[in-house]
Amino acid sequence: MGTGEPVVSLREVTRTFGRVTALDGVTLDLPPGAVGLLGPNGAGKSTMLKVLLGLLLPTKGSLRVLGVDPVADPVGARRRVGYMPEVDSYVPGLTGVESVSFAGVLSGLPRAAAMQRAHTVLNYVGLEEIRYRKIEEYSTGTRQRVRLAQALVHDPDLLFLDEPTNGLDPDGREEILGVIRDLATRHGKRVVLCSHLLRDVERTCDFVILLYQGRVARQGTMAEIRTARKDWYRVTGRGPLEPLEEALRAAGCTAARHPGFLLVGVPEGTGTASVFRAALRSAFDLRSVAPDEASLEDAFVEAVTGDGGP
Amino acid sequence: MPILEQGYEPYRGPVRTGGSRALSIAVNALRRNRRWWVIALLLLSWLFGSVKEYFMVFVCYAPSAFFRQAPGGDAAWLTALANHPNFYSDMMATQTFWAIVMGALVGAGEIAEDLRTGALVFYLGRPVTRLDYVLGKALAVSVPVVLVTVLPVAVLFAAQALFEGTWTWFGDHARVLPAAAAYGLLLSFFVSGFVLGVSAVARRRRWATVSIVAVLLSLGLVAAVLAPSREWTSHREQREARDRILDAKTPEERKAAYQRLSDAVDPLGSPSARAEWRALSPSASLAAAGRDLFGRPVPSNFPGIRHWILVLGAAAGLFGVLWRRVRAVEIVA
Repeated sequence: MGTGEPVVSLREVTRTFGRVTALDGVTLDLPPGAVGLLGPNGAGKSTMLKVLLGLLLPTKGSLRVLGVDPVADPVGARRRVGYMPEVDSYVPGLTGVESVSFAGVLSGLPRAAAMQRAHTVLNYVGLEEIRYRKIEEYSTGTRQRVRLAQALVHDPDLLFLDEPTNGLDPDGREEILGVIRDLATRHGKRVVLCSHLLRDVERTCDFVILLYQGRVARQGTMAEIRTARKDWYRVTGRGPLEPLEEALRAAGCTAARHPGFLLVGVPEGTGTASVFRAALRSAFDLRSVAPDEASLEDAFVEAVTGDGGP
Repeated sequence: MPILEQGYEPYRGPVRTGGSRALSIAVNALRRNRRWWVIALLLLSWLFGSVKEYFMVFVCYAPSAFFRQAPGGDAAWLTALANHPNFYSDMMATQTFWAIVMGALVGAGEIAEDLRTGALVFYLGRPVTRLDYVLGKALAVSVPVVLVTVLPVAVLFAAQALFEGTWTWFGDHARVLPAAAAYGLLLSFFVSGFVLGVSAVARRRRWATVSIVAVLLSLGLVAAVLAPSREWTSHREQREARDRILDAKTPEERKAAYQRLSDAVDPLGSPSARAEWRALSPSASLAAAGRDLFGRPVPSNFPGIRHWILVLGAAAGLFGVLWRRVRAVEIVA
């Protein structure tokens, strides 16, 4: 596979579970480097990873991972991929180093080489003497490091990291994000980082894919995604909301009702002037207009529908 | 050492693309089960299950080996008994109980604990198929089963062959080793299917063990109540069977009466009118299947091939449960 070719490509991939459509005609090409897969819970991120790993068959569509079709050859695809699952996953009764070594053996490394390699990657992720204790005794953060080491032990070309910073303290989070960034930039690993945390993706990824309700809501470089974002304000006051909402829409804003406030999205760079003008026009008694830190869900809905509210 | 100071090193060693992942899974499971109580139980099973047979071989052959004189007189029957091929099928029937106990204790936690700790994702996120996983776990349960059943038979066979290794003896015993191997396979299939299937629906080793014991005990108890075996019936019933031989007027009646007596005194048989219910007991059904393999007749009132259907059907059904559970975890986890 050449460097210019997509690492992962999906064509009209659909996956349903009964009446629920987890992935709905997803078509995308993931470029090399670190790619963030963003979405709220239930957006289809984990399903997509499982389809890419060949653990789930797509209901429709075709896909390739590093040039391998995971539907036809799931083992071949998984051989070149390192997967760090979101959920706790360890073989009971093993120490940290045994667990990583066993992961290496299952990935095809000879037993002695797997043990040596386990120590190398545990050093890299910063797990020291505790590696000789059983995993059952580890904290959540330490287990995360072991899972990352398990994903790295066979030196895969591509890493699928599902919520890698879950349960980590701020220092631990920074360290793990540093490791991911290091792998992507200095060691040429292709990384797909699956997260619902915007900040994690911003820190580590160059390319981002927004998934919403099983569809690709938007994809592009970080800069492209940021440019498209609007500014958000929480508006409170007294008076009928319908005329205000109408006036806001007429001014190119978006508005969504929330308990106790109205969430208003204004075109980037225009500030609050359009909000005040709309309130004046609709005789709405404004109490406060405060900047709202746009949550990821807000960004998604904005990306999907182009209008206001979550 | 602070994180990142070590730096990432690419792996440049060999990678096996083939090879059996199932074997690696089995070896890992066996290593984890290398506990003192497992080894103690193994020794205990050899001691209790095989001591009678080994003792007989010793009594029969030791004098001739050490004092160069063959046992005679009253001890002659021991030689005949120890030499008889039935000896091996009886021994394996005795060991069946221990095989189930070993399998239950070693394998009860294999799937239950994996489900609890999410280990299935650990396995299936690597170049491991569902079949590798199930085979690996089945192999891990089968090894102790084979150690408990086939190994003592093979050692005993070798010991006897050492003393009696004539062509005639080998001809008489030609079926023993293949039959023992086949019975070992059947036991492995049944025990691993049963134990892993129950383990797949439990979430804890403890519950899986309790469930396995409860199912086996209740099946055995129902079979024993509905169709009591020789040990459960009074001597009166056996006496009655003998009396029928004396009372028989025609050769057909006598033949039927003999058969009835034979069934009544057979450890697998039952003088009860509901003898077909004996097949409900897993150990009885397994022992009957073992007899078929060793070419030894089962009691006439033992229900045809039903024991095969029960043994293979139960194991296959529970393997099916395990297969579905492994699939479900792939989707849910």
